[in-house]
Amino acid sequence: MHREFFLKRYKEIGGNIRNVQPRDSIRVNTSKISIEALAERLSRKGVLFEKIQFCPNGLYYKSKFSLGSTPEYLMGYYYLQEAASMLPVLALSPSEKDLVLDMCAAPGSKTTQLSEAMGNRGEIIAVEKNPGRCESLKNNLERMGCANVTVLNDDVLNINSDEIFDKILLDAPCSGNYAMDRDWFEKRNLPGIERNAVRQKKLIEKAYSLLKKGGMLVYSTCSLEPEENEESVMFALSLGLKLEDSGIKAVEPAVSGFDGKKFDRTMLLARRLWPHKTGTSGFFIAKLRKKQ
Amino acid sequence: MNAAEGNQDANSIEGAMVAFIQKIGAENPEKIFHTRIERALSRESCSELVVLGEEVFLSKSSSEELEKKIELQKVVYCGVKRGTIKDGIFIPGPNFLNDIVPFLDELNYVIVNERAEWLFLCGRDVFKEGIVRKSLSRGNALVLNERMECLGYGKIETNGSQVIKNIFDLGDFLRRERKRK
Ligand SMILES: C[S@@+](CC[C@H](N)C(=O)[O-])C[C@H]1O[C@@H](n2cnc3c(N)ncnc32)[C@H](O)[C@@H]1O
Repeated sequence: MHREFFLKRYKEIGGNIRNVQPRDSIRVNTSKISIEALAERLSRKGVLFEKIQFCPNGLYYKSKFSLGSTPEYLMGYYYLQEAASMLPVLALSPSEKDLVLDMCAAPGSKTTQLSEAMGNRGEIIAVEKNPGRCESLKNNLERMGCANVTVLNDDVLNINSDEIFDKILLDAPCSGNYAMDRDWFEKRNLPGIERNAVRQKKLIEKAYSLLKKGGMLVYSTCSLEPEENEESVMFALSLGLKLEDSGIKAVEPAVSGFDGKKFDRTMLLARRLWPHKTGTSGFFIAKLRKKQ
Repeated sequence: MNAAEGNQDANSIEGAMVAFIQKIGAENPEKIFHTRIERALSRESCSELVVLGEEVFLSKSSSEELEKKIELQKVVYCGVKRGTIKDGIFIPGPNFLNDIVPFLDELNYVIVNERAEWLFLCGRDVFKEGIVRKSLSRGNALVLNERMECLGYGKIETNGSQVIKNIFDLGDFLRRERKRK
Protein backbone atom coordinates (compact mmCIF):
# COMPACT_ATOMS: atom_id res chain seq x y z
CA MET A 1 0.00 0.00 0.00
CA HIS A 2 2.80 2.44 0.93
CA ARG A 3 4.63 1.59 -2.26
CA GLU A 4 1.65 2.60 -4.39
CA PHE A 5 1.23 5.81 -2.44
CA PHE A 6 4.84 6.80 -3.06
CA LEU A 7 4.98 5.64 -6.67
CA LYS A 8 1.95 7.77 -7.43
CA ARG A 9 3.45 10.92 -5.95
CA TYR A 10 6.82 10.31 -7.63
CA LYS A 11 5.09 9.90 -10.98
CA GLU A 12 3.44 13.25 -10.45
CA ILE A 13 6.68 15.09 -9.69
CA GLY A 14 9.53 13.06 -11.13
CA GLY A 15 8.31 10.50 -13.65
CA ASN A 16 8.39 6.71 -13.60
CA ILE A 17 10.99 5.59 -11.11
CA ARG A 18 12.80 2.28 -11.37
CA ASN A 19 15.10 0.37 -9.08
CA VAL A 20 18.59 1.78 -9.07
CA GLN A 21 21.71 0.58 -7.34
CA PRO A 22 23.83 3.73 -6.90
CA ARG A 23 27.40 3.20 -8.07
CA ASP A 24 30.14 2.80 -5.48
CA SER A 25 32.28 5.89 -5.11
CA ILE A 26 35.08 7.46 -3.13
CA ARG A 27 36.15 11.01 -2.46
CA VAL A 28 39.92 11.42 -2.60
CA ASN A 29 41.51 13.32 0.29
CA THR A 30 43.69 15.61 -1.78
CA SER A 31 45.20 17.10 1.36
CA LYS A 32 47.05 13.77 1.70
CA ILE A 33 47.41 12.37 -1.83
CA SER A 34 46.70 13.38 -5.44
CA ILE A 35 43.82 11.75 -7.32
CA GLU A 36 46.25 10.37 -9.90
CA ALA A 37 48.60 8.86 -7.30
CA LEU A 38 45.77 7.16 -5.43
CA ALA A 39 44.11 5.87 -8.61
CA GLU A 40 47.46 4.50 -9.76
CA ARG A 41 48.05 2.69 -6.45
CA LEU A 42 44.62 1.10 -6.31
CA SER A 43 44.50 0.34 -10.05
CA ARG A 44 47.57 -1.84 -9.54
CA LYS A 45 45.46 -3.89 -7.12
CA GLY A 46 42.78 -4.29 -9.80
CA VAL A 47 40.38 -1.47 -8.92
CA LEU A 48 38.75 0.30 -11.89
CA PHE A 49 37.98 4.01 -11.69
CA GLU A 50 35.91 6.57 -13.53
CA LYS A 51 35.72 10.29 -12.75
CA ILE A 52 32.52 11.65 -11.26
CA GLN A 53 31.78 14.55 -13.60
CA PHE A 54 30.16 16.80 -11.02
CA CYS A 55 32.68 16.33 -8.21
CA PRO A 56 36.33 17.17 -8.85
CA ASN A 57 37.66 14.81 -6.13
CA GLY A 58 35.11 12.03 -6.66
CA LEU A 59 35.72 8.69 -8.38
CA TYR A 60 33.29 5.88 -9.18
CA TYR A 61 34.95 2.50 -8.72
CA LYS A 62 34.57 -1.21 -9.35
CA SER A 63 36.48 -3.55 -7.08
CA LYS A 64 36.46 -7.25 -6.25
CA PHE A 65 37.43 -6.46 -2.65
CA SER A 66 36.13 -3.96 -0.12
CA LEU A 67 37.68 -0.51 -0.29
CA GLY A 68 36.71 -0.04 3.35
CA SER A 69 39.82 -1.71 4.81
CA THR A 70 42.77 -1.14 2.48
CA PRO A 71 46.00 0.42 3.83
CA GLU A 72 45.17 3.50 1.73
CA TYR A 73 41.77 3.76 3.44
CA LEU A 74 43.37 3.44 6.87
CA MET A 75 45.87 6.16 5.94
CA GLY A 76 42.96 8.51 5.24
CA TYR A 77 43.64 8.84 1.51
CA TYR A 78 39.93 8.59 0.70
CA TYR A 79 36.43 8.48 2.16
CA LEU A 80 33.76 6.04 0.95
CA GLN A 81 31.07 8.51 -0.04
CA GLU A 82 28.05 8.28 -2.28
CA ALA A 83 28.39 10.61 -5.28
CA ALA A 84 25.26 12.73 -4.69
CA SER A 85 26.28 13.41 -1.10
CA MET A 86 29.42 15.19 -2.35
CA LEU A 87 27.31 18.05 -3.75
CA PRO A 88 26.19 20.02 -0.65
CA VAL A 89 29.77 20.98 0.28
CA LEU A 90 30.47 22.04 -3.32
CA ALA A 91 27.38 24.25 -3.14
CA LEU A 92 28.46 25.77 0.19
CA SER A 93 31.99 26.32 -1.14
CA PRO A 94 33.59 27.35 2.18
CA SER A 95 36.81 29.35 2.23
CA GLU A 96 39.76 29.19 4.59
CA LYS A 97 38.58 32.38 6.28
CA ASP A 98 35.13 31.07 7.20
CA LEU A 99 33.65 30.00 10.51
CA VAL A 100 31.43 27.11 9.43
CA LEU A 101 28.77 25.17 11.34
CA ASP A 102 27.98 21.58 10.38
CA MET A 103 24.71 21.08 12.26
CA CYS A 104 24.16 17.32 11.87
CA ALA A 105 27.61 16.01 11.32
CA ALA A 106 28.07 12.26 11.93
CA PRO A 107 29.57 10.12 10.54
CA GLY A 108 31.42 13.00 8.92
CA SER A 109 31.52 12.51 5.17
CA LYS A 110 30.68 16.17 4.70
CA THR A 111 32.62 17.46 7.73
CA THR A 112 35.81 15.91 6.37
CA GLN A 113 34.97 17.25 2.90
CA LEU A 114 34.43 20.75 4.33
CA SER A 115 37.74 20.53 6.14
CA GLU A 116 39.57 19.57 2.98
CA ALA A 117 37.78 22.25 0.92
CA MET A 118 39.01 24.83 3.45
CA GLY A 119 42.59 23.58 3.17
CA ASN A 120 42.40 22.55 6.83
CA ARG A 121 42.18 26.22 7.76
CA GLY A 122 39.38 28.45 9.01
CA GLU A 123 37.20 26.81 11.63
CA ILE A 124 34.41 24.24 11.58
CA ILE A 125 32.11 23.52 14.49
CA ALA A 126 30.56 20.09 13.92
CA VAL A 127 27.60 19.11 16.07
CA GLU A 128 26.21 15.62 16.56
CA LYS A 129 23.75 14.62 19.24
CA ASN A 130 24.10 10.85 19.08
CA PRO A 131 27.12 9.78 21.21
CA GLY A 132 27.78 6.55 19.27
CA ARG A 133 27.71 8.33 15.93
CA CYS A 134 29.90 11.03 17.43
CA GLU A 135 32.61 8.40 17.97
CA SER A 136 32.46 7.53 14.25
CA LEU A 137 32.78 11.21 13.42
CA LYS A 138 35.86 11.56 15.65
CA ASN A 139 37.36 8.43 14.12
CA ASN A 140 36.89 9.78 10.59
CA LEU A 141 38.33 13.20 11.47
CA GLU A 142 41.43 11.55 12.88
CA ARG A 143 41.81 9.15 9.96
CA MET A 144 41.41 11.91 7.36
CA GLY A 145 43.88 14.18 9.21
CA CYS A 146 41.47 17.08 9.75
CA ALA A 147 42.92 19.92 11.84
CA ASN A 148 40.26 22.63 11.82
CA VAL A 149 37.23 20.89 13.35
CA THR A 150 35.79 21.16 16.87
CA VAL A 151 33.13 18.56 17.65
CA LEU A 152 30.30 19.17 20.08
CA ASN A 153 28.31 16.16 21.27
CA ASP A 154 25.03 17.92 21.79
CA ASP A 155 21.66 18.67 20.31
CA VAL A 156 22.36 21.59 17.99
CA LEU A 157 19.05 23.11 19.11
CA ASN A 158 20.74 23.72 22.50
CA ILE A 159 23.36 26.02 21.02
CA ASN A 160 22.52 29.54 21.97
CA SER A 161 24.66 32.04 20.15
CA ASP A 162 24.13 35.12 18.10
CA GLU A 163 24.60 35.34 14.41
CA ILE A 164 28.23 34.15 14.35
CA PHE A 165 28.62 31.69 11.47
CA ASP A 166 29.63 32.70 7.95
CA LYS A 167 28.35 29.45 6.49
CA ILE A 168 26.13 26.64 7.74
CA LEU A 169 25.57 23.15 6.40
CA LEU A 170 22.30 21.56 7.47
CA ASP A 171 22.41 18.00 6.16
CA ALA A 172 19.18 17.23 7.89
CA PRO A 173 17.98 13.96 9.38
CA CYS A 174 15.37 12.72 6.91
CA SER A 175 13.37 9.73 5.66
CA GLY A 176 16.05 8.61 3.20
CA ASN A 177 15.08 7.18 -0.18
CA TYR A 178 14.32 3.88 -1.86
CA ALA A 179 17.68 3.65 -3.67
CA MET A 180 19.52 3.40 -0.35
CA ASP A 181 17.34 0.79 1.32
CA ARG A 182 15.66 -2.20 -0.30
CA ASP A 183 12.86 -2.21 2.30
CA TRP A 184 12.32 1.53 2.17
CA PHE A 185 8.71 1.35 0.89
CA GLU A 186 7.72 -1.06 3.66
CA LYS A 187 9.19 1.11 6.39
CA ARG A 188 7.99 4.59 5.44
CA ASN A 189 4.64 6.35 5.59
CA LEU A 190 3.27 9.87 5.43
CA PRO A 191 2.98 10.52 9.22
CA GLY A 192 6.68 9.64 9.61
CA ILE A 193 7.59 12.01 6.80
CA GLU A 194 5.54 14.78 8.35
CA ARG A 195 7.27 14.24 11.69
CA ASN A 196 10.64 14.63 9.99
CA ALA A 197 9.45 17.78 8.26
CA VAL A 198 8.61 19.31 11.66
CA ARG A 199 12.13 18.48 12.98
CA GLN A 200 13.68 19.94 9.85
CA LYS A 201 11.84 23.23 10.25
CA LYS A 202 13.10 23.51 13.85
CA LEU A 203 16.65 22.96 12.60
CA ILE A 204 16.20 25.57 9.84
CA GLU A 205 14.94 28.06 12.41
CA LYS A 206 18.04 27.40 14.53
CA ALA A 207 20.31 27.72 11.49
CA TYR A 208 18.71 31.06 10.70
CA SER A 209 19.38 32.38 14.21
CA LEU A 210 23.04 31.26 14.16
CA LEU A 211 23.83 32.54 10.66
CA LYS A 212 25.42 35.97 10.12
CA LYS A 213 23.46 38.47 8.05
CA GLY A 214 24.53 37.89 4.46
CA GLY A 215 25.75 34.39 5.46
CA MET A 216 24.98 31.24 3.56
CA LEU A 217 23.03 28.11 4.48
CA VAL A 218 23.03 24.92 2.44
CA TYR A 219 20.10 22.69 3.27
CA SER A 220 20.26 19.11 2.03
CA THR A 221 18.48 15.81 2.54
CA CYS A 222 18.62 12.39 0.93
CA SER A 223 14.83 12.35 0.87
CA LEU A 224 12.64 12.61 -2.23
CA GLU A 225 9.58 13.84 -0.35
CA PRO A 226 8.42 17.43 -1.06
CA GLU A 227 7.40 17.87 2.60
CA GLU A 228 11.08 17.46 3.60
CA ASN A 229 12.51 19.44 0.71
CA GLU A 230 10.61 22.16 -1.15
CA GLU A 231 8.23 22.71 1.77
CA SER A 232 11.16 23.05 4.20
CA VAL A 233 12.71 25.59 1.83
CA MET A 234 9.41 27.51 1.67
CA PHE A 235 9.64 27.75 5.46
CA ALA A 236 13.24 29.01 5.18
CA LEU A 237 12.12 31.69 2.69
CA SER A 238 9.43 32.81 5.10
CA LEU A 239 12.14 33.46 7.74
CA GLY A 240 14.12 35.81 5.49
CA LEU A 241 16.44 33.53 3.54
CA LYS A 242 16.76 33.80 -0.24
CA LEU A 243 17.47 31.00 -2.68
CA GLU A 244 20.61 31.28 -4.82
CA ASP A 245 22.01 29.30 -7.71
CA SER A 246 23.94 26.37 -6.22
CA GLY A 247 26.24 26.16 -9.22
CA ILE A 248 25.33 22.47 -9.58
CA LYS A 249 24.86 21.81 -13.27
CA ALA A 250 23.30 18.92 -15.15
CA VAL A 251 20.88 18.08 -12.35
CA GLU A 252 17.14 18.75 -12.34
CA PRO A 253 15.63 21.73 -10.56
CA ALA A 254 13.38 21.24 -7.55
CA VAL A 255 9.66 20.86 -8.27
CA SER A 256 7.59 24.00 -8.80
CA GLY A 257 4.49 22.76 -7.02
CA PHE A 258 2.96 19.77 -5.30
CA ASP A 259 -0.42 18.55 -4.13
CA GLY A 260 -2.17 21.66 -5.42
CA LYS A 261 0.40 24.02 -3.84
CA LYS A 262 2.56 26.32 -5.90
CA PHE A 263 6.05 26.98 -4.55
CA ASP A 264 8.01 30.23 -4.80
CA ARG A 265 9.23 30.75 -8.35
CA THR A 266 12.88 30.85 -7.14
CA MET A 267 12.46 27.20 -6.02
CA LEU A 268 13.84 26.21 -9.41
CA LEU A 269 17.27 27.26 -8.11
CA ALA A 270 17.25 24.30 -5.71
CA ARG A 271 18.34 20.89 -7.03
CA ARG A 272 16.82 17.41 -6.94
CA LEU A 273 18.59 14.18 -7.80
CA TRP A 274 16.26 11.39 -8.88
CA PRO A 275 18.00 7.99 -8.68
CA HIS A 276 16.48 6.82 -11.98
CA LYS A 277 17.84 9.89 -13.75
CA THR A 278 21.26 10.39 -12.14
CA GLY A 279 22.16 6.81 -11.16
CA THR A 280 22.92 8.16 -7.67
CA SER A 281 21.08 8.09 -4.38
CA GLY A 282 18.13 10.47 -4.16
CA PHE A 283 19.14 13.94 -2.96
CA PHE A 284 17.94 17.50 -2.53
CA ILE A 285 20.11 20.61 -2.19
CA ALA A 286 19.16 24.25 -1.64
CA LYS A 287 21.57 27.13 -1.26
CA LEU A 288 20.11 30.00 0.76
CA ARG A 289 21.44 33.40 1.80
CA LYS A 290 20.34 35.38 4.84
CA LYS A 291 19.30 38.87 3.91
CA GLN A 292 21.61 41.71 5.01
CA MET B 1 40.05 25.77 26.62
CA ASN B 2 43.35 24.38 27.82
CA ALA B 3 45.01 21.33 29.24
CA ALA B 4 44.15 22.31 32.76
CA GLU B 5 40.53 21.49 31.98
CA GLY B 6 41.51 17.86 31.66
CA ASN B 7 42.98 15.78 34.44
CA GLN B 8 46.60 16.25 33.39
CA ASP B 9 48.69 19.36 33.11
CA ALA B 10 50.44 20.30 29.89
CA ASN B 11 53.95 19.71 31.26
CA SER B 12 53.29 16.15 32.34
CA ILE B 13 51.72 15.34 28.97
CA GLU B 14 54.63 16.84 27.07
CA GLY B 15 56.90 14.80 29.34
CA ALA B 16 54.98 11.64 28.46
CA MET B 17 55.30 12.48 24.74
CA VAL B 18 59.05 12.99 25.08
CA ALA B 19 59.28 9.68 26.97
CA PHE B 20 57.54 7.95 24.06
CA ILE B 21 60.04 9.40 21.56
CA GLN B 22 62.90 8.32 23.80
CA LYS B 23 61.54 4.79 24.01
CA ILE B 24 61.48 4.66 20.23
CA GLY B 25 65.26 5.08 20.28
CA ALA B 26 65.93 8.83 20.12
CA GLU B 27 69.03 10.02 21.91
CA ASN B 28 67.75 13.59 21.93
CA PRO B 29 63.96 13.25 22.21
CA GLU B 30 63.43 16.86 23.33
CA LYS B 31 64.92 18.14 20.10
CA ILE B 32 62.57 15.98 18.03
CA PHE B 33 59.63 16.94 20.19
CA HIS B 34 60.20 20.68 19.84
CA THR B 35 60.95 20.59 16.13
CA ARG B 36 57.78 18.57 15.64
CA ILE B 37 55.67 20.99 17.66
CA GLU B 38 57.04 23.90 15.66
CA ARG B 39 56.25 22.14 12.39
CA ALA B 40 52.72 21.37 13.53
CA LEU B 41 52.38 24.97 14.62
CA SER B 42 53.35 26.51 11.32
CA ARG B 43 51.39 23.97 9.29
CA GLU B 44 47.99 24.04 10.93
CA SER B 45 48.35 26.96 13.34
CA CYS B 46 47.50 24.49 16.10
CA SER B 47 49.51 25.15 19.20
CA GLU B 48 47.44 24.59 22.28
CA LEU B 49 47.54 21.25 24.06
CA VAL B 50 44.02 20.19 25.02
CA VAL B 51 43.02 17.09 26.97
CA LEU B 52 39.47 15.76 26.73
CA GLY B 53 39.04 12.69 28.91
CA GLU B 54 41.99 10.49 27.93
CA GLU B 55 42.38 12.04 24.49
CA VAL B 56 45.10 14.56 23.71
CA PHE B 57 44.76 17.20 20.98
CA LEU B 58 46.70 20.08 19.54
CA SER B 59 44.22 22.84 18.89
CA LYS B 60 44.26 26.32 17.43
CA SER B 61 44.65 28.88 20.16
CA SER B 62 40.93 28.95 20.61
CA SER B 63 39.48 32.37 20.06
CA GLU B 64 38.05 33.75 23.27
CA GLU B 65 35.15 35.06 21.30
CA LEU B 66 34.16 31.54 20.32
CA GLU B 67 34.52 30.28 23.87
CA LYS B 68 32.04 32.82 25.10
CA LYS B 69 29.51 31.93 22.48
CA ILE B 70 29.58 28.16 22.48
CA GLU B 71 29.31 25.83 25.42
CA LEU B 72 32.75 24.30 25.25
CA GLN B 73 32.14 21.69 27.94
CA LYS B 74 30.37 19.66 25.26
CA VAL B 75 33.53 19.56 23.15
CA VAL B 76 34.65 16.00 22.45
CA TYR B 77 37.25 16.64 19.72
CA CYS B 78 39.29 19.61 18.54
CA GLY B 79 42.12 20.34 16.15
CA VAL B 80 44.58 17.52 15.58
CA LYS B 81 44.35 14.39 17.70
CA ARG B 82 47.79 13.42 18.99
CA GLY B 83 46.95 10.28 20.95
CA THR B 84 45.70 9.16 24.34
CA ILE B 85 47.12 9.38 27.81
CA LYS B 86 46.54 6.59 30.32
CA ASP B 87 48.13 6.41 33.76
CA GLY B 88 50.70 8.98 32.68
CA ILE B 89 51.73 7.01 29.58
CA PHE B 90 51.28 8.61 26.18
CA ILE B 91 49.97 6.34 23.39
CA PRO B 92 50.43 8.19 20.09
CA GLY B 93 47.95 8.21 17.24
CA PRO B 94 48.88 8.16 13.53
CA ASN B 95 49.21 11.92 13.30
CA PHE B 96 51.89 12.03 16.01
CA LEU B 97 53.71 9.04 14.52
CA ASN B 98 53.76 10.67 11.07
CA ASP B 99 55.35 13.77 12.55
CA ILE B 100 58.33 11.83 13.91
CA VAL B 101 58.94 9.81 10.71
CA PRO B 102 61.20 12.57 9.29
CA PHE B 103 63.60 11.79 12.16
CA LEU B 104 63.83 8.11 11.24
CA ASP B 105 67.64 8.16 11.16
CA GLU B 106 67.59 8.71 14.90
CA LEU B 107 64.87 6.15 15.70
CA ASN B 108 64.22 2.42 15.85
CA TYR B 109 62.28 1.22 12.85
CA VAL B 110 61.48 -1.69 10.57
CA ILE B 111 60.40 -1.45 6.96
CA VAL B 112 58.15 -4.34 5.97
CA ASN B 113 57.01 -5.92 2.69
CA GLU B 114 53.42 -5.79 1.42
CA ARG B 115 52.36 -9.07 3.01
CA ALA B 116 53.77 -8.18 6.42
CA GLU B 117 52.17 -4.72 6.06
CA TRP B 118 48.77 -6.30 5.64
CA LEU B 119 49.25 -8.67 8.58
CA PHE B 120 50.49 -5.85 10.81
CA LEU B 121 47.42 -3.76 9.91
CA CYS B 122 45.30 -6.74 10.98
CA GLY B 123 46.86 -6.47 14.44
CA ARG B 124 49.55 -9.16 14.00
CA ASP B 125 53.22 -8.96 15.00
CA VAL B 126 56.14 -8.48 12.59
CA PHE B 127 58.32 -11.53 11.85
CA LYS B 128 61.80 -11.75 10.36
CA GLU B 129 60.58 -12.88 6.91
CA GLY B 130 58.52 -9.69 6.42
CA ILE B 131 61.35 -7.25 7.10
CA VAL B 132 62.99 -5.42 4.19
CA ARG B 133 65.22 -3.12 6.25
CA LYS B 134 65.64 -2.33 9.91
CA SER B 135 67.50 -0.27 12.43
CA LEU B 136 66.84 -1.53 15.94
CA SER B 137 68.37 -1.14 19.35
CA ARG B 138 66.08 -1.52 22.33
CA GLY B 139 62.58 -0.43 23.43
CA ASN B 140 59.92 0.29 20.80
CA ALA B 141 60.13 0.71 17.02
CA LEU B 142 58.11 2.34 14.25
CA VAL B 143 56.74 0.02 11.56
CA LEU B 144 56.70 1.41 8.00
CA ASN B 145 55.84 0.07 4.56
CA GLU B 146 58.17 0.30 1.58
CA ARG B 147 56.72 3.68 0.65
CA MET B 148 57.89 4.93 4.05
CA GLU B 149 54.34 5.34 5.31
CA CYS B 150 54.00 4.72 9.03
CA LEU B 151 51.69 1.82 9.89
CA GLY B 152 52.05 1.90 13.66
CA TYR B 153 54.60 0.80 16.22
CA GLY B 154 55.48 -2.08 18.50
CA LYS B 155 57.86 -3.46 21.05
CA ILE B 156 61.22 -4.86 19.95
CA GLU B 157 61.42 -8.57 20.86
CA THR B 158 64.78 -10.17 21.37
CA ASN B 159 63.81 -13.87 21.52
CA GLY B 160 62.16 -16.04 18.89
CA SER B 161 61.40 -15.27 15.27
CA GLN B 162 59.06 -12.47 16.15
CA VAL B 163 60.81 -9.12 15.81
CA ILE B 164 58.16 -6.53 16.67
CA LYS B 165 55.22 -7.12 18.97
CA ASN B 166 52.32 -5.01 17.75
CA ILE B 167 51.25 -2.23 20.13
CA PHE B 168 49.36 0.07 17.77
CA ASP B 169 48.51 -0.14 14.06
CA LEU B 170 46.21 1.82 11.73
CA GLY B 171 43.77 -1.12 11.64
CA ASP B 172 42.66 0.27 14.99
CA PHE B 173 40.34 2.62 13.06
CA LEU B 174 38.34 -0.40 11.89
CA ARG B 175 38.48 -2.24 15.20
CA ARG B 176 37.08 0.81 17.04
CA GLU B 177 34.12 0.89 14.65
CA ARG B 178 33.48 -2.85 15.00
CA LYS B 179 33.61 -2.63 18.79
CA ARG B 180 30.98 0.09 18.65
CA LYS B 181 28.64 -2.06 16.57
C1 LIG C 1 21.70 12.71 7.60
S1 LIG C 1 22.70 12.34 8.98
C2 LIG C 1 24.09 13.37 8.67
C3 LIG C 1 25.13 12.79 7.76
C4 LIG C 1 26.41 13.60 7.79
N1 LIG C 1 26.14 15.00 7.50
C5 LIG C 1 27.43 13.06 6.81
O1 LIG C 1 27.55 13.61 5.71
O2 LIG C 1 28.15 12.11 7.15
C6 LIG C 1 21.91 13.22 10.25
C7 LIG C 1 22.67 13.23 11.59
O3 LIG C 1 22.13 14.28 12.38
C8 LIG C 1 22.09 13.88 13.73
N2 LIG C 1 21.09 14.75 14.36
C9 LIG C 1 19.73 14.71 14.22
N3 LIG C 1 19.16 15.70 14.91
C10 LIG C 1 20.16 16.41 15.50
C11 LIG C 1 20.19 17.54 16.36
N4 LIG C 1 19.06 18.14 16.74
N5 LIG C 1 21.39 17.99 16.79
C12 LIG C 1 22.52 17.37 16.41
N6 LIG C 1 22.56 16.28 15.62
C13 LIG C 1 21.40 15.80 15.16
C14 LIG C 1 21.71 12.41 13.65
O4 LIG C 1 22.08 11.73 14.83
C15 LIG C 1 22.51 11.97 12.42
O5 LIG C 1 23.78 11.50 12.80
